This record gives sequence, structure tokens and C-alpha cells, in this order.
Amino acid sequence: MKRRNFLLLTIAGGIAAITPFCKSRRPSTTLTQPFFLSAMCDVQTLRKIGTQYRTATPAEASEDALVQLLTTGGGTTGQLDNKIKDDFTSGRTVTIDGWVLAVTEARQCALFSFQKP
Amino acid sequence: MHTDARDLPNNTLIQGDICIIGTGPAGLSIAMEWDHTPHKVILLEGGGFQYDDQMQDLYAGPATGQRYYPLRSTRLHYFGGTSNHWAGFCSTFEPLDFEKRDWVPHSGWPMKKSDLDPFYAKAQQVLDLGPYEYDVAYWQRKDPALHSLLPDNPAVWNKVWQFSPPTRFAKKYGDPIKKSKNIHLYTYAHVTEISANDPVRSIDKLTVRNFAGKTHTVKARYYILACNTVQNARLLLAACPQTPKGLGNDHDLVGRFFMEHLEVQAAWLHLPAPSKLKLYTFSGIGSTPMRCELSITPELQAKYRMLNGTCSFMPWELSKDMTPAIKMWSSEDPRKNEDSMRSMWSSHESSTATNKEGFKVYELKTRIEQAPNPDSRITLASGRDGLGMPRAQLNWVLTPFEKYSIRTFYELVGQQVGQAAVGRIRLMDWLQDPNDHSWPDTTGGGWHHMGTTRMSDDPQTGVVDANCKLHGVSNLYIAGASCFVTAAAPNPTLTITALSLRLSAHLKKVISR
Repeated sequence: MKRRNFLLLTIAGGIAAITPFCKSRRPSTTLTQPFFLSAMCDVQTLRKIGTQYRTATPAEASEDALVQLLTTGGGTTGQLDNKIKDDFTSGRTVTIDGWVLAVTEARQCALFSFQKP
Repeated sequence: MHTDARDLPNNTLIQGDICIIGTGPAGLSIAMEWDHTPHKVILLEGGGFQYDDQMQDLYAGPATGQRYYPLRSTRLHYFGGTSNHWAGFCSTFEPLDFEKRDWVPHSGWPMKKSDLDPFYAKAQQVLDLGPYEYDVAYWQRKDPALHSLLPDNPAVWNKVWQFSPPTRFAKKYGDPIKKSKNIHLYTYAHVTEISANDPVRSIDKLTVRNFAGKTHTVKARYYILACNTVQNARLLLAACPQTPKGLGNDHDLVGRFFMEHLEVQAAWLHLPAPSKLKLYTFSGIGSTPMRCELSITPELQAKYRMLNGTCSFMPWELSKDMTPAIKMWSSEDPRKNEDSMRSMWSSHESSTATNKEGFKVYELKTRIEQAPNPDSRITLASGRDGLGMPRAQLNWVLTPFEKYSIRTFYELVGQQVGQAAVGRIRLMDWLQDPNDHSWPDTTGGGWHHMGTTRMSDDPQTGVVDANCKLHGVSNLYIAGASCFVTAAAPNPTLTITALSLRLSAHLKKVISR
């Protein structure tokens, strides 16, 4: 249910998923949607994680910085999933609001948190 | 053979070869080993065959430090001891638990897991458990639906628990004891004095008393103090008039290193789809032969310099409304506490049974060893009990080490759960800040008292030797969890029983010389 809400929200926003930024300069859903995590968290939780991550990591607290970090080495869904797995394997994890997360999915939440509710 | 010591003429002299003080799992498992032998065994129980409020009150005492359950109600003072309200959880200590770990001060037993293995196997029968199999693969072969959450994981593994019915020692062993020709059970024979020879190198006699006003003397060649962790220490500290600082207490160790298992709700496991997690789910004492809890491998425990612990799973839908044990087990009357606990478990059991598809969110409850700490201790209180003995006093002390270990545990589990893409872990609020060393008001113990007469080959670092004999005293042995050096993660009854059987086997060799 939570995942469905998330998808509806992002689809309703009319966001394209092909390039990091669509014509309106909004990040693509691929980058703003931590797909697996969204199956367990509602939109408010993802936004809260994102906001707290930006506060805890000021150097990454801009959309441009986050997009660049997320797209380095590829920004497709499959590539991001692999990055998340690599993060967990390598111990590149962060604990945000108690959630033990891959850095990549925390960045996705941070990027998502820039979007207006 | 049974005698009620209240019915004996005052100042009766009771004599035998071996005297066992206490009839809980330690005392009775030892006693049964001596049935049908030529040795006369004196088995002393302070209470009778039923709960007796006057006897139970002898266990009351103050507690300071970390909030704890009322001492009066955590142990039971009648035949069968605390097995009368034991829940039946059993698992073995791991080899690492016996080793000296340089990151755990005061760790290291003077024995190995392999020394205890034959006695663990025997203890399985004493406690009516299944085969001595604690490898999850064995159980998965029997039931392929027992899927591992993290199969073949290098960091997190499945530690098996087996469940005793639970064995009520009084019910199972009461009649055999009464019918035994060489075991002489005395009820209402509460030890109040341990008299040593001069110099204090052996025990000469015991004094037992009861509320009928009778005082008797017990003499034996060998004595085994098999009360509980608090009472073992209390008797050593208070009962020997020749040693004002306490019997076996030349190095100020008796009563120190009191340990519990910290049991506290600490995190949640979120799954993308409902699952029953059959391998991990508790579905009722007596109806499930086993379940697993997650544990961290010895290699990672060493790498992260953390304590040993496990986590169990409870559907959040059910656990969110449950009262933590530390708040529920708050009455001085153990019968009330047990009723509350059984009622809660029964409710949980029925809710779990009716759920077909499983749950998406599980509460993770920690059971972790407490680091051995000399400041966590039993001492004598200023007040005296109804038979004139100084009461025991507990100062339960936790440290940041335990909290660090719990946090690290869930971060490691979180990494593995994330890597395997089976879900995500979320730490509870109280665990999130690594600089916060406070404990939540839900923090409790498992009613597992351990460590007050710890074992060591060196009298300067331990109260008993590897055979559980009191250092410096030739004929007094201590049985029970008070001899534990470290607490490991599992509930202690299986290890108490195994260690007691080992003590008994050793004493058989000694007495046959």
C-alpha cells in the first residue's frame, strides 16, 4: 500500500525517468525513488529520512550534488540497485532516524525531500 | 526418603556422605545422579512442597543501581526451586563464550565448551529436550519450511533454541526422590550457618532452622551449595561465623560480578511483504520444539569488540501493546507475576496462530550478555530475615559497553538484511544516539542471575575452581549459575544443569578415591 502511494505520487508529478533531469530540471523518479525501501516506508517517512540526511550531510544538501553523486557510475534503476547492494556489502551505511540504510538510498530520499509534498 | 524437619525433635543430628543444599535444577539434577549408589545423600530444601509466603519472604532484599525486579519474587523457595515457574528456553553456550576475549574484561573460563559437551547431551534428557542438536541445518532437514532469513551469511547466523515442556523438577523428580533408599530429602531445613573447621580449610557442619522453631545439625563428608546465584553468595557472605568477611572471600570476590541477560526491545525488522518467519517465531511453550534467534559470528564479535547476544522476533502488531517484563513483573508475590506473564503469552500465542499470511513488521528483542563487572554485586543488607539471616542486597550495574554492543548488533544485522534485500532494520529511539549511554525504562533482565561465585583456576580471580570447588576449602562445592564467568546469550538453565552434572561426575571420582 505504501509503495503504491509512493508510485501514485511520483506518477502524478509527471516526472520522466529517462534522464537525471527532465526538461523542468526536476530529478527523475529513478533517482528520487528508493524502490525497495518504498515498499516498507510511506512518503512521509522517506521525506523525513531525506531531510535528516541533508541536515547530517551538509556537503550533499543540494539537488545538484545529490544528482551528481547518484549518477556517478550510472543512474539507471538496475545500477542504483547494485550501488545499494554494494553499499551494504562495503559498510557504506548510514543510520537515519533509526533506519540502517545504504548511502545511495539515503541520498535518494534526500533528493526526494526537495520535492514539494 | 522424605522427612519434614519441622517434625524432628529439636537439635537432631542428620548425617550423610554428601549434603546438597537446594532442590532447584542444580540440586536435583545432582541428587538424581546419586540415586541407587551406596552413598547416603542429604538433600536440604528450605521450604516445603508448595509455595509458602513466609519462606518466600526470606528471599526479599533491597536493590539499587539499574532498576530490577523485586528480589523476593524472582526465585522460588520450595521444592523444585525456580523450575516451578521456569519458561523452558534452552540453548548452549558457544565455544567463544568460554574463551578469554581481550575486549571483554574478566572473561575466560578455566574450561572449554568441549569439556561440557557430554554433560550438555545428558542435560537434554534431564530437561526433556530433543536431541543434542543445535545446528539449524538439522532442524531444517526435518521441516523444510524453516527458511533462514539470511542463508549462508558470513556475519549473522541462526542460533537454535529448544523448548523444555518445561520440566517441573518437583513433579518429575519428586516421587523418585521420596522413594529413593539413599537420598534423604529434608524439607523445611533452611541453612542458616556453615561451620568450618579451624583453620578454615574444610566444612564441619551446617545448621538448619525453620519457622517451627526447630534447629538441627547436618554433617557430611562433602557439601554442595546449590541454591541460586543470590543465595549462594549470601550464604558464603553471612553464614560462616569463623570468616567475618565471608567464606571463600579472601579476595573480596564473593557476590561480585552479578550478571543478568539484558532483555530489551531494541529495533524493528521491516519486510517488503508479509512473512511468518517460521524459523524464528515463537508459537507457544511446549508446542514448538525449537526456534532460532539471530546472532553475530565470533569473527565479527572480535572485529567489532562487542558482547555476545541474539535477537528474537515478535510481530509488531502484537508486541506494540505488550507491557515490558520489567514493568509487568513488579509484584513482590511471584504468583501474581507469573499469572500476568502467562496471560500475556497466551494472548500472543492465539493471535499468532490465527494469522495466516504473516507480518510485515517485527519487533526485535535483544538478549545479550552483561559484561562481567565487579561493581555489579550482591552484598549483605542491614536488615535480617525471619530466621535471623542478613538479607541480600543487589546493586545491578550496566555500562556503555552493553549498549554499544546492542547498537552494533543491529547495525550489523541491518547491513546484512539490506545486502540480502530481505528488508530493512530500524533502531528504536533509545538506541539511535551513540553518545547516549542511558537506558530506557523498558530495560529488564531475563530473571537470569549469574556470576557471584565465579570460576577461575586462580583464587585471586575466582571463588571456585574448574570443578566448582570453593578455593581453599576441601569439601565445599558450589553448583549453579553463580559459577558462571560470563553469561553468554542463552538462558542459563541448560548450562546450569550440564555444569551440575559435571560437578557430580567429578565428585563421584573424588569420593571413590
